[in-house]
Amino acid sequence: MALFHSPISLNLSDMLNKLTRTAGISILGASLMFLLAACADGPIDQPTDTSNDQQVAEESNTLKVGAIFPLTGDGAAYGDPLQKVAQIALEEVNAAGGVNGKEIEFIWEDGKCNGADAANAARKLIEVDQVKVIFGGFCSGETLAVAPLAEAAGVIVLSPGSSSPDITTAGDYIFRNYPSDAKQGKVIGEEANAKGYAKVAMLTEQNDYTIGIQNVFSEHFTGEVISETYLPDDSDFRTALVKLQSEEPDALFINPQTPTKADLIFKQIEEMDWDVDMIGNDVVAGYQDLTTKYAELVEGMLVAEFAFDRSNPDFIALEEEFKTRTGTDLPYGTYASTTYDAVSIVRDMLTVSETDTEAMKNFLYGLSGRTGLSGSLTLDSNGDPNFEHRLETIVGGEVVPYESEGSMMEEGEAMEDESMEEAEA
Amino acid sequence: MLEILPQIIWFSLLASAIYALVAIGLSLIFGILEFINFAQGDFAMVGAYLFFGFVIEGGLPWWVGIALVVILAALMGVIIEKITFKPVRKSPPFIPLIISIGVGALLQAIMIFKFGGSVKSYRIDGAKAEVYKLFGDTLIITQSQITLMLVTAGLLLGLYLFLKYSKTGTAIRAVADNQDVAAILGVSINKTIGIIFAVGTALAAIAGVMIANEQNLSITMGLSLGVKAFAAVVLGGVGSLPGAIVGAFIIGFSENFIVGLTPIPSSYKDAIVFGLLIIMLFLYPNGLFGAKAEEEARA
Repeated sequence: MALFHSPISLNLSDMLNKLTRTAGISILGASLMFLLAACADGPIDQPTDTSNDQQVAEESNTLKVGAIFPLTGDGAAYGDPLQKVAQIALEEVNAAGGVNGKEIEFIWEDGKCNGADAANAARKLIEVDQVKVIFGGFCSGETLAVAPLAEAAGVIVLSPGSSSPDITTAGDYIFRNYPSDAKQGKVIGEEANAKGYAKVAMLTEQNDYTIGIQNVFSEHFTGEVISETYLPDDSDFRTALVKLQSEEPDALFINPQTPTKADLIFKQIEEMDWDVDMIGNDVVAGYQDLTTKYAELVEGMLVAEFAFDRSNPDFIALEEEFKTRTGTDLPYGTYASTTYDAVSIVRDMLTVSETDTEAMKNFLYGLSGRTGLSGSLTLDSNGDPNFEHRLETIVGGEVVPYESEGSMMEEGEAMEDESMEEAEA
Repeated sequence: MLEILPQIIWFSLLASAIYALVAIGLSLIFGILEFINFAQGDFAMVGAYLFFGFVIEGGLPWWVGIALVVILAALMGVIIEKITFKPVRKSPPFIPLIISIGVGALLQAIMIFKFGGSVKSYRIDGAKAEVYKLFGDTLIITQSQITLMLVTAGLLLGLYLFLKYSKTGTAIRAVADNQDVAAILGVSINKTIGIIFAVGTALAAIAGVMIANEQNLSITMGLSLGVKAFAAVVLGGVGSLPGAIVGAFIIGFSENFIVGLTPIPSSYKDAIVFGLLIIMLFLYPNGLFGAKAEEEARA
């Protein structure tokens, strides 16, 4: 009691008038709350605080953009080189003045080619880093998981590589400059009809990208599809392949999510000594190491990639720059072209507005005839590009344009019409 | 259906051998330290990548590569045990388990930093697998598959002989049986545990090289291997080495038979195999060989 009524404390309280005391308490309360909040989220908030400080310091000259690619795991086989492509493009954009003199900075997050990790990454980017634009995801599973979060937060998503048909309707803020597999599955399905296949065996990985292709292919292929699926973690496809082989199909469609799995599947087919017509998705087609390694096995394989001009000097310059930096050849030219272009689309979008995603969205919907490495880009009302897939085949380990069975497109179409009529009859 | 049976039996044997290789290391460590080492699959992954670095990139002869892999892996096992597991040896088993997950993640990060994420395999460009056809072409086997089976059999036999007849093996079994009594009898516990980690990690590393020769390299290869091997250990009876091997064979055979002989696609094989595991554990709560081990302990 004596302590409470000590003359000093009495004197002190006497010296404070009512107003300053109230103000003091509020300040004390506020600091206490701040301290409590800081303690509660201690270790998690720590780096955020620093980045916020940096943000304040650099606010005048950087614009932060979230970026989600598969940087580890099997998907890193494309995520890693394409991240380098994006960085090359970003450096060029910034060197050319960025956005109104401000530099664009990508905050990279690892989506690991799956929905769960991509969603966590998106939550962090939206809530902690407070980005207005997410560049990526790359795998369809990533983008489809990010879409509802971005949509709810009014954050723009621009994917340079996700091709699942489901992304078309994933949301108003969800865009891509890589064409939907609705087109890839269609051209392959129609060509399989033209070749007169009656039965196609399909080995599909359980992922959004691959299932999208399988669905569209099955829709357009008039014959029977014998489907076998596997989980992304699987590494033993032998029994599934033997089972498919025992059905004696006219062709085998290899439909993996990553080149790692494609490599394994090829190895296991080769070890079975199974000689069959093969069809592959664009993950198979885009990885030159794979097609040269299994050149004999994949000879004549039917594939479809998004069609763009590989002889464009700007694209060749990109290939050379990539080679200089990494010492390796640029894989996945198709994805590299869209990834490169998407970076400058981000720049243009931020030039329209740095914060207003409504304005950015309208800018993207208005994109028409924009030239880039990937061609002349127009986005439709679903945020999908106008690009087409082109049939290709593999000759001597090289992916080359495909000459249709009937050598003339009309013939192929005529045959298809006939078979359609037969099917109807 | 029947004409693919020989092929499916062979594939089942291959899968079982791969699981058994990882499972015995897991079981060995559990037998002594009573925690599940989730980094065991990642030890295999590190072995696979080291071999790639020495032989495929570095151009060393394969036997030098194997020797280096074994030595480095054993060393890695001892060091990891000393820094991470030894300080928590008296803690509840979930603490070293969580640490082992961390060790696994760290090893993955180091390997991806060193080797990158691109597709890697031991295959030399242009080389084609040597294929042998048996039983009127109903069974096709390759040279590397035969190697895998022989190495697995050799390692299992070698481990059995080591544990049964060598002085160190006897010490390991004594420590597994009762650490306190073994210590009183003059067995150095720390040294024995170090040896177990060296042996367990070296085994995993050789397994990794064998597996990568069959299934290529992947940074995440350890995870699915670890889970299957863990299931094999639980099924066979935790801590029992023969149990781990039998468990590996049950899992290898059931998943291949389910996929090969029924219309069920292979994406469901894990669900079915783990469903089976649950039923088996209802019937044999200590695993197939676990009950016996418990009786022995009591006697």
